[in-house]
Amino acid sequence: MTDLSRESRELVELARDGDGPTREDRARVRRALALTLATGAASTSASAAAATKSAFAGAGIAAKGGAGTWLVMGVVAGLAGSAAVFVGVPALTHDATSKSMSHTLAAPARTPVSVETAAPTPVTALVEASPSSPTTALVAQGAPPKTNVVLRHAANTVTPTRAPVETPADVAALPDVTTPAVPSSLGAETSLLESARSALNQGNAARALALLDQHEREFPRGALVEERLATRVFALCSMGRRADAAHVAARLLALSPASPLRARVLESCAGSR
Amino acid sequence: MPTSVAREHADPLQALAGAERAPPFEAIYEEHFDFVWRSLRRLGVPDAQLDDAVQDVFVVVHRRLPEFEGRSTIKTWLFGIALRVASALRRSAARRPTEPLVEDPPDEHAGLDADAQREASEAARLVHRLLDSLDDDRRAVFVLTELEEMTAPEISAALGVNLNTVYSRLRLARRDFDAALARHRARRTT
Repeated sequence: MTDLSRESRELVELARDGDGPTREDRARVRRALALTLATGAASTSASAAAATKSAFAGAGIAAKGGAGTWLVMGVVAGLAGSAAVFVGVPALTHDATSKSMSHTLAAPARTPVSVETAAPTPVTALVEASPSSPTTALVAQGAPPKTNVVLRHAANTVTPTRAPVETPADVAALPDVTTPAVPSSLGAETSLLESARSALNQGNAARALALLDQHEREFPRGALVEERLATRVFALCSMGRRADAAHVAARLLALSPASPLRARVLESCAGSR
Repeated sequence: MPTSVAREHADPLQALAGAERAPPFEAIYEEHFDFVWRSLRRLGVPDAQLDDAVQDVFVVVHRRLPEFEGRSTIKTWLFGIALRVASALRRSAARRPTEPLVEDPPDEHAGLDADAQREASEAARLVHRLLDSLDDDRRAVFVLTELEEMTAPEISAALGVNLNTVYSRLRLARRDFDAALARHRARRTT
């Protein structure tokens, strides 16, 4: 076997330790992934929900097992690290916002205050490319939400527009934000939301809505408000209640114009024209 | 249900031993995050898309973990997924006009001697660029052999190709890499 030239070998050996992630890289991706998985199994359209019902039953297993705790850990870690995942999300009432915001969806503001938008990655292609997968139908889920981590100051501080801030640098620069959301309630909040999601994945949208109502009562200012709204959108879509879904989607996008869930919500029945 | 199907087909002895059953997602993530990260870079995923690509890999892992049958190690399984994510990205990138090559700011790795780390980062960046001149199949073999220091049988399992193919791709990859480095050095000295 011909070996590498000495020059190449030296270069390669030097390079071997040169492309790992930094601590910031790890933390940033972890937060983003926790958010993605928080709503990850939710379907984006009624037809897809029907088509993938059985497949989701399988995919749900992981969510019920280790990943659930993992998610909570991730979110808690985010809070503890002052990288505040969701801080003091102002609660919006249905009536007040749904009317005034309903047009948002028809002409979504294309310029959220954020960040680089990387091209969506076709997870689709890759699942299709894998042979022997009984869950090929899962493709219905589009590109995962992008990695922007949405930071919010408490409602009574500087940013009345709730402008999302991004980048690890910003995260580091932020003063320590004390969170009104108590980390210990996150577990309960997350598991309630997961129950709603799994009800939806099993085709029981009505049950999902009931659980989401409960979530809203118990955690009106919880850490997972966006996820709750998004899950409600998907549930309403799967019941064919498109107008209602559109209202909820409008609330979500008004609350967080640069939400990582934005693309998913716009791809659902609520966004289709 | 995929899980039960997967279990029926799994080797009952293996199931008894519990050795090759899929570990929890959390454990995989913790242990292999760095591997996935650097592998994607080495497979040509540009920095701007790296976060998304890493996420994509783990979203797939999360979804497909119940099907993991222990026919390969977790690491080779992950590499297979990373390979598909990277090539899907490349396909979509190929349709866009190529951006001019910009030098990235140096990485800041905590806990390591700054100079040594800068040197390693620069070397890595150069290696990535040289790897761009390799054909995809050869590139994957080169990455696993020279950078991950995996053995040929492991690579054969990771890529799903036979040993002879691994060896022949490695030989060609090394030749191509040497040539690319020589060209790079020649350009710099003239």
